[in-house]
Amino acid sequence: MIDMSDLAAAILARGNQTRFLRISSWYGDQLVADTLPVADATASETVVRADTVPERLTFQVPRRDRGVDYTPIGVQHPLAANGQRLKVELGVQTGIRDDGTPNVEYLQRRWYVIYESQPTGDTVSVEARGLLWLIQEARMVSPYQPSGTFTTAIRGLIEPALTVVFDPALTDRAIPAGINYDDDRLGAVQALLTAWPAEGHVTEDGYFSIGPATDAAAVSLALTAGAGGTMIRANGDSTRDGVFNAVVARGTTSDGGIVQGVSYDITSPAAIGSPFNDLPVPLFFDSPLLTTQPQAQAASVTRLATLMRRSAESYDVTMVPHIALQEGDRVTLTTDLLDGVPGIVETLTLPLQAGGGAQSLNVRRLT
Amino acid sequence: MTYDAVRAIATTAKSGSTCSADIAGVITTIEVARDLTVAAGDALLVLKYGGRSQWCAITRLATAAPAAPSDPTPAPPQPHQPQTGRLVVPAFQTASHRSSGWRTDNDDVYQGQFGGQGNHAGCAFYGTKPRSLDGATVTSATIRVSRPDAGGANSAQPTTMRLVTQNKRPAGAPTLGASTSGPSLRRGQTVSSFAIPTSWAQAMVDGTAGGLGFFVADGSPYVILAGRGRSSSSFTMTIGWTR
Repeated sequence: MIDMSDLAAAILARGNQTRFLRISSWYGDQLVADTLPVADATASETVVRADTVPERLTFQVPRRDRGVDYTPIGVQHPLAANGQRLKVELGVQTGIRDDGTPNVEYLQRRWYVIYESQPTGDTVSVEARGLLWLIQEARMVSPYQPSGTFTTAIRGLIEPALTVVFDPALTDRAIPAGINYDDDRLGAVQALLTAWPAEGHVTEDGYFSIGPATDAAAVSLALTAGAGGTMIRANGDSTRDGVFNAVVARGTTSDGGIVQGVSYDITSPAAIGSPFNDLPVPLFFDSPLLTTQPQAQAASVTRLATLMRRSAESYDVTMVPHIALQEGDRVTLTTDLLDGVPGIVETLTLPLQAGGGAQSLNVRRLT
Repeated sequence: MTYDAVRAIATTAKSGSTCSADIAGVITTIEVARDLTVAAGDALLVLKYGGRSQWCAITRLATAAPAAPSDPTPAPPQPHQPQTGRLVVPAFQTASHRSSGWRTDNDDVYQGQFGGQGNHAGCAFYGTKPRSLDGATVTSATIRVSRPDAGGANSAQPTTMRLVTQNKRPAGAPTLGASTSGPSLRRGQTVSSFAIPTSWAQAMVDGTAGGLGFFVADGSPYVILAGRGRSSSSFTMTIGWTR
């Protein structure tokens, strides 16, 4: 949940609110457009937590507005895809200023990099991606050999395109000699995070935050079917594809020995011994970054927890937009069949304009 | 680019369990099979293992070390060259405090007092983003400041800038530290790049400070600077850094 004042939180909790959208465009450290004239009701943000680049933004602007041509011609044009970054802010009216204008509390929703802008007729359609796109597209020109520690290796892979904050709860450790990643920069970052074990996401402030791979503990929002038009229904997707109930993590000690950590799913619907399969269905992964048995065990536990997200029950929620709710937030679900069941927001679609309709979520039930 | 088994040229002799080798133009530290003796210049067959992220030489190729090529492979870019960058840090919150507490009617940044309503300490807080440069050296820092057409004299008015300890609005008064001259703006003027002391930005990167304040002990001059509510870019800070 994005940080906000108690007053704004109370207004958002009421459901009826006056909302505002502000998108500014930056080229490097230069502000090239303070407020883009987004007018279409279909403007939205979509976030799929499991994707390598989770965030996507789409909106349209008029081709000409108040004397400004928004056709993306020119290196520094606010809508050109030359590295222009968009800062998206959503605001809620909290009062009236002395001069009679609305007093608005803006929440910084997210930073995006423009992927493409297409003029069509009288409008320009803009698609932007989350900042991890900068890492994904920057495949390595030559193989990367990390040295030092996990923190220096990750910084070496993604700075200066993105900067990083490491949670102090993580214990840094040395990288073994001889590690070598070919060309997939974001894949190398994910390999380091999996072995650490840790998890990363780009924050609303636009930096990469890395911390322990655990679900949020504090409840951000209670969702009740029927209240304020909220609808909650079970998601019917069910597949065995990509479902595992054991993870075997293997590594190599400094003297060449083999270490192994194994974790078993004993709680989910796909647990070992359940009707899913009486036998373990394992996923194996090797990493030379695992040099002790406790490291291999920790990595297997985290990898299993990540895999179990796929097989967990999930619910689709339709609700009045909540501009502070984010992917990864913990919510509770209450219906005639669910009594305050905790869950984690895995995907969300947020209309950016007040006339954009309802917000939709997919919430993974916590077991 | 995916490697399975490729040829490499040893650039050093085996030492311990490893040696250096030229693989596709990149000097790489590789494991060497225990029973294999490697001298600089030997042609090697190397395999990838360990989750496809480690190389191991398993045998030597050819009858002797091949002659060095007349045109050596150009050196690739160094992965650990010093990094530099510019980080754009929007203000996380803007707010003004006076004796009765934080203003709730707007989020502008006030300096001074008007009509005996209490002397303000206006603040811009920068949240946790500066901490993403932890360990870096700040080489420059600027802020963008606007003065709306409201509050105080029309002509340019001096401001006094303070370093603030908190990185978000505290419950009580902000903790004001070091002091320096701030931007002097007339009503309606914007300065897009006002330099602040690099040591202040360094303190934010290091986590010992978190914001900027505007405060004059005698309450004059009275100045209103635009907060986040008025403008998306108000008090956006740009930090130049090197690591």
